[in-house]
Amino acid sequence: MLGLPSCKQVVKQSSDLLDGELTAFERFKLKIHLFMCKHCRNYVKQMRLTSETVNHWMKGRKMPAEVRQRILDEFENGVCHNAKKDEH
Amino acid sequence: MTKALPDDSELVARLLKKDSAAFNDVVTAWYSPMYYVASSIAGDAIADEVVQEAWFSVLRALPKFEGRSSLKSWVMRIVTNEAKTRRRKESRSTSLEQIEDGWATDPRFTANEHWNTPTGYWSGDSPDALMQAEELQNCIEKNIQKLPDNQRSVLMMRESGAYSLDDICNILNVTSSNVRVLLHRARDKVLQVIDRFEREGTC
Ligand SMILES: [Zn+2]
Repeated sequence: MLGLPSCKQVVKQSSDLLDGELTAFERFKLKIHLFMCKHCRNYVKQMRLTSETVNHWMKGRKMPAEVRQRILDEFENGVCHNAKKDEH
Repeated sequence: MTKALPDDSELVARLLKKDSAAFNDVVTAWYSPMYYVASSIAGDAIADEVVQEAWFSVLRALPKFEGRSSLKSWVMRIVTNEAKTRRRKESRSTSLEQIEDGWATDPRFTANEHWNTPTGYWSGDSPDALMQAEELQNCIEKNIQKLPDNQRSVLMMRESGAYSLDDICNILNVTSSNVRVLLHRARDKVLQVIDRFEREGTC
C-alpha cells in the first residue's frame, strides 16, 4: 500500500530518522506507518531514548587522579616553552 | 556536579592566560567522552594516555585555534587523530562482515516483516530514570565493550555529540552509508539490551 515501509524497514530507518538523514518523502511514509503501528511507535521512541541513554552513560566516567595531574602539570609548566617556540 | 563552562571565546582567553581552574573544569567536563572515543579507537589500555597526549597537542595548538568549529569539536577531533595514530593495527578487525550477520533472519520479525516479538514497555522514559538501576549501567557498559570495533567507534563518536556523520566518515574512512548502518546496528543492539533488562531484569 503506497509503498509504505514494513515494520522491519521502519526499524532499519529509525536511526536515520533520529539523525535527520531521511528524505522528506521517506519521513512522510515512515510517519504514516507510525500512525498505524504502535509497536513501531514504541520502538522509535526507544531508539531516541537509547541514544540519549548512551550519551548519558558516556558522561559518567571519572578521571583518574594521576591522569589529571599529568595534564595539569603540562598546562602549568609546559605551555610557556611551546608558546615561546611558536613565536619564531 | 558538572560545572557549566563559559562560552568558547571566553574559555580560550582564560586558557591562554593560564587560568588553571578553567583548564581543570574543561578537562574534567570532557574527560569521559574523550576517554570513550579514544578507547573505542585505540583500546582501553592506552585510552588515558591518548587523552593526555591529546591535551598536550591541544595546548600546543591552542594559540592557533580559529573558532571555525566549537572548541569541543576541535578537541574531540584532536583526540581521534591521536587515537588513530596510536591504534595497533593487529587489534583491528574488519567488522562490516560481522554486522551483516543476522539481519536477514532477525527473529524479531515475521517473514512478512511485521513484528514477531515487539519491544516491551520500559519503566522509565528518560536516561536518568532508566539508569537508576545500577545493573543496567553495568550491563550497557559490558555490551558496548562487546560491540565490533567499528560499531563501537561510530556509536561513541556520535553519542558524544561532538561529531557530525560526515566527520565520522572522514575520521574512520568509512562510507557514509556504512557509518549509518554501523550506527544503527550499535544503537539497535543497545536498545535490545535495555529491552531485555526491562523485561527480564537480566543482562
Ligand atoms: Zn510497524
